[in-house]
Amino acid sequence: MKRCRFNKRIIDYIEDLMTEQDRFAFENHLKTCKDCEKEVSQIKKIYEILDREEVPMPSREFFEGLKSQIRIKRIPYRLPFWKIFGILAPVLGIIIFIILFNQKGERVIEIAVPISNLTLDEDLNRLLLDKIIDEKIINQFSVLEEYFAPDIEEYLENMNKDEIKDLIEIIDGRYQRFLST
Amino acid sequence: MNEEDSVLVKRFKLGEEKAFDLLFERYQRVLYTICYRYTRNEADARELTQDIFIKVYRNLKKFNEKCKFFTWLYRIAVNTCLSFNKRKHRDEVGLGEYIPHQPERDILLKKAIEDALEKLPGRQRMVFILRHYQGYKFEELAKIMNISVGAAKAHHFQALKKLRVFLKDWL
Repeated sequence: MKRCRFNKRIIDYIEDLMTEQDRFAFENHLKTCKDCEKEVSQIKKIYEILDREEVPMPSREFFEGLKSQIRIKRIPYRLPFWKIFGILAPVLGIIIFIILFNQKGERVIEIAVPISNLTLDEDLNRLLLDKIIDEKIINQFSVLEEYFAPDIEEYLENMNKDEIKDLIEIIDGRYQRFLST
Repeated sequence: MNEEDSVLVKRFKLGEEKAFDLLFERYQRVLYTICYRYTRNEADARELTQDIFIKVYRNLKKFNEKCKFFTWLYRIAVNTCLSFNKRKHRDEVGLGEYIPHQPERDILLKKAIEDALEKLPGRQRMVFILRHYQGYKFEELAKIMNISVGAAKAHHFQALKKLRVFLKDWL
């Protein structure tokens, strides 16, 4: 069903928000439009119904008591979440900072390893980090590795840490002797 | 700001407690009425009125006198009512709790109004109360509720539309 174009002005009419001219036009329209007329009377009826209801006012004593109460009574103060977070965030940050810097577990140590080939080998890296071998040996080893490559990879894969260590020491010994001659 | 309100606020800010009493007496009934119409319950309305006045008393010294006092006061009332509704819903009141000598139709009508208003969302209900019962213009109402005039009109329109549906048996 097509809605009357005046329909959306009903509230303005009832709430007295129309200009004098619009009001006149609307009232003329009401004489001919049954739908709008019905709606206006329904809304007026609602207002009548609502206006019929009275508010049961408390006694004078209630207000007197309230007047003195408001100076004493405290509303439980609830800190808003963002304020709690604002206070807790820096505290948590400091705690995390202290924990991280007091950790006695593993530490990250930067070691300059010039031979990129060898650093790919986890076992050798581990030996280096554990200070079983030093950088000098690795340098020497790299010279040898170039010499023996690619078989050295295969050998190393089949050895355990101690065997690798022994091998390096043997090779190093021989290398030292080689250099001295 | 109403001249007298502003004078009373200034006097209170200068330390005169009596000035607050006068403001309290001026607005006590109207605020209680709003709270009652909003909560539909006497106990809740009393509690809310108390909360509102405590907030007003605590914050009046910080009140910016460039604003209208009643706008500020009503805004506190509206916000208190809206947040109150969120955390507390009153117990359902059965028809049997009404005064028995009232004519039956009146009892039923009262209950119907109560149910209808209670079904409205908080903001729509508050806009409707301030507009219909307190007679505020939409511009004032928008300021009190911190919303646009358009939003205030929309809330009112929606409230009325819903009330027509809820109360259709009485029309």
